[in-house]
Amino acid sequence: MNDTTPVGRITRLLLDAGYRSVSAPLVIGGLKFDFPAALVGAETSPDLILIADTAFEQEDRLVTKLEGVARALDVARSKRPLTVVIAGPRPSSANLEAMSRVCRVLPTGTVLDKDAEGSLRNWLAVLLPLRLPEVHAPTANALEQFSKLGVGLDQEVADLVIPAQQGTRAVQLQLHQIIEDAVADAKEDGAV
Amino acid sequence: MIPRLKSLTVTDFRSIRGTVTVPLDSPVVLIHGQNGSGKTSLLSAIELGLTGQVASLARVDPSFDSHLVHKAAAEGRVSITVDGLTDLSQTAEIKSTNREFSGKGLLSPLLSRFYGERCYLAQSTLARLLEIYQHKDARLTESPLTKFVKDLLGLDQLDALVEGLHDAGDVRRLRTGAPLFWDVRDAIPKLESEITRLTKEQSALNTDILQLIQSVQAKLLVMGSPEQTDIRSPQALRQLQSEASEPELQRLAKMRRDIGAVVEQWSSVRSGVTAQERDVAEARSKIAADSLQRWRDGSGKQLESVFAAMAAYFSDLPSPSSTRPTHARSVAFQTVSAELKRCSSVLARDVDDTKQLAALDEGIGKSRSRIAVLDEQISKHAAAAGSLAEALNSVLPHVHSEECPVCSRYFGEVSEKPLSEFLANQISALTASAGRLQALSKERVEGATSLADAERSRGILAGRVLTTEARDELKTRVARLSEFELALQQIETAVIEGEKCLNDASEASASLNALRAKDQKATTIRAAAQKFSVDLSLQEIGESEPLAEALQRFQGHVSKTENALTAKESARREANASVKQLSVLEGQKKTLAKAISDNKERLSRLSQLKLVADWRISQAKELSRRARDQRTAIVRRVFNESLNAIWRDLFVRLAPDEPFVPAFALPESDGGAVEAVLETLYRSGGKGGNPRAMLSAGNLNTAALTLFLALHLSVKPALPWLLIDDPVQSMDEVHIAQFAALLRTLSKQHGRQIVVAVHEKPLFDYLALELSPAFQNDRLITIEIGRAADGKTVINYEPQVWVPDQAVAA
Repeated sequence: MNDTTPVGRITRLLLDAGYRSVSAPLVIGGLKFDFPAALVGAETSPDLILIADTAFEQEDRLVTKLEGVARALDVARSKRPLTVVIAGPRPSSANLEAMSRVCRVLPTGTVLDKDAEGSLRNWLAVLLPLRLPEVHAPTANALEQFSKLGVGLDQEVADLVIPAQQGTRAVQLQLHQIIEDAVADAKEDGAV
Repeated sequence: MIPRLKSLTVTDFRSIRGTVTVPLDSPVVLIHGQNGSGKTSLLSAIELGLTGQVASLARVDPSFDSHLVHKAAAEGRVSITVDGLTDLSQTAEIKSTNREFSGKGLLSPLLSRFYGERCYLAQSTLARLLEIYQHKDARLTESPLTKFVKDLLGLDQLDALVEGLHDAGDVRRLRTGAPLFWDVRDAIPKLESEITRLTKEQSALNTDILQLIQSVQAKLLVMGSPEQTDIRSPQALRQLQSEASEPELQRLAKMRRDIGAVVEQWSSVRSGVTAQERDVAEARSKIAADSLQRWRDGSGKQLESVFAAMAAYFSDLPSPSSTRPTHARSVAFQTVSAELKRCSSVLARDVDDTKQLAALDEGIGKSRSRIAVLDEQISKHAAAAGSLAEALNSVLPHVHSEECPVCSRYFGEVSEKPLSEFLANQISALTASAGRLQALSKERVEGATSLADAERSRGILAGRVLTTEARDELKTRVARLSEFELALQQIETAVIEGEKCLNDASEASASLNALRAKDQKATTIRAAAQKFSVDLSLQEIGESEPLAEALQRFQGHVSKTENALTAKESARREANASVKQLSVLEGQKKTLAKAISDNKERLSRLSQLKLVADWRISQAKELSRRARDQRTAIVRRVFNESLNAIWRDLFVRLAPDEPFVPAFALPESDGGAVEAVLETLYRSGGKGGNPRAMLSAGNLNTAALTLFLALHLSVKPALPWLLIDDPVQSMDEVHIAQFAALLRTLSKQHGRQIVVAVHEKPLFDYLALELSPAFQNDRLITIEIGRAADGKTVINYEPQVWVPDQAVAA
């Protein structure tokens, strides 16, 4: 398939996300369904994803075909959630409504944005794995930077980062201590 | 082990009537029920069991406590079981007492907070989530967002550093923490002012010393040294110590006193005594003595003879020759007069007494004869008349007829009058006689008393009357005394004259004696004065020179010499005092100089120390600034890279065709607390407005929902649970489908245990399909809540397990 077509781009994205292509034509319970592309999810997501292109296919026929797929899945007692990704012009609201009764519809539409890839990703986001931020990363990074806070300062001052682990009070005491140390000689000769 | 909710048992809690047990031990639990069937109650019960309170309701209604027990029930109970939590018990049960639930939840306070903020999305919270996280008041530092940021970033150390270095920002904060530094800081200006003060004192002292030196020089000048003498030269010192003039001064002082005394003496004899004066005085004295003798021969003798005669009567009279004659005469006269008076009065009283005696004798005679008459009358009356009358009176009541009660004889035989009348007359006669008798007796007693008085008076008088011899002698004495008195009266003029002669004579003799004494003194004084001229080596007193002038000349010389010496001496003394003071001041000057140099040294030392401390403080400030910068940088980065990224991701999943994406914007602030505000970003770049202005109601709801999920996902999941109460109320179907997919992703990919309550049946079915088990050991529990005919809550519980899909060949 050619990645320059919308269907190709969508398929590529989903394949990259870990979905597997189903060999065409799609057969459910002995019935054949003709779709430009069909994919199923890996273990954790049993989705069945169909890709259609309204540029080549009439909306009515697409609706009928999807209802057929849904019905076939029901008959086969399959619990795979069904998703259709529609490339090409956005179907009419009535047809979208009809489709969304039997499956999840992702009408990517004709991508007009400059960032076509980004826009497509947005539409398909729900199918793509969710990348959570590394909750430890910033903290680890922060710790490293934290220890470097005192670079270029006097050693006594730079060392103030050490008691920070014990909390505010420890830092405060240490701060007082180094200030007191600086003037400690004043005490020895009773000048104060 | 991953914490997982296991089961929940609820009795009469909120809208749940009776006891229901809800199994929760599944990755996904879907709860369906009509409105009012108790979905939210179940979720509240879970919250209560876990945290011990129902914070989601408290936000809406502060008095929710009183409505937790089902209104038809007396008490309620909630018990929950959880698996996989270390250090915590697996089960917690909270019962109501007095229709109020109280008890400790299963979770620790920290986990409770995590649960309330990051795991449980109540319907009431969902509506207000954006509001809660939208930071409105910049002064509130501990806003939910700030707490979140801290949880998220573990900024404790940075915060501790920033807060700990707070004191470096202002030296005043170091007052208690670093007292020594504070003292040093304090001491420096004090030292500076002290040095200024000491320096001022030093210059004042220098001026004083200069003045003293000048004054000593002036004094030396007075003492005869040349001008500008060095006051420390041995010559000057010798001069200052010399006390040579002292004996001379003493000699002069004595001389001055002596001359003064002579002048004094001289002034008393100054009048002098001439020969003529002496002659007059002597003549006067002779005349006075002559006249005195003449008087003594004449009147004096007469007086003596009178006194001699009187001596027979009065032994203690003063003698006219030994005392002054007038005095002697007047004393004698007074004595004679007094005696004469006494004798005359004795005679007069004796005459009176004789007369009175005769009158008394007559009175006594009369009294005696009256008493005799009274006695006679008394004897006429019966002595016992009174008592007899009383006796008869007591008999009278017994007289009833003419028969006598005493003798029983008939009274008619004696008289014609009735007996009672007779008796009555008798009684009255007796009574009258008794009264008279009493009066007479009293009269007699009085007469006897006055007689006794008169007789006593007479006795006294008789004793006082003089005898005839005594009276005659007294009369003779009176006659003699009268003679004396007369003689004394006659001699009075002569006596006065005699007195005068006496006085004249003594006065004249006294003045004569005084003149003689004066004459002798003047000679002595002149000799003494002559001696002064020798002592003072002055010109002698010339014969023609009056003594007074010479003395004045001596006096002038002495006082002039003395003044000169005294002036020198006092100059020397003052100079000495000044020199002493000078040495004291020199000592002070030395001490002062040392104090100044000491203080200066201390000042420089302290200044150096303070410089070091100040340097450290400024460096600490720098460190604090860096820490704040780093905190801000971290927060900004994390906001942008973590929270906003995941929020955007989640929001886009649910609303792929919404051009605006909500985000937290971090305004630039100069360190300090992190402030974030909500904004929207246009997907292809550029900023929009506040989400609530930019997004539709459905997408706003989506924004809140995804914010909640983003908050949950961007921290380490202490509790990997998501409990969501009817989240799809204003979402369209597109969003619902996406939401279902998202829930599945969270459950299957990220291992979150998900409990979702929905009221729409089709949605419930759809979610059940979408969230159905996808692999071995994956499970789904669907729960239908309804009510039985008696109103009790009924749970229909359906577990689903994984069945390998055969429909689509992969």
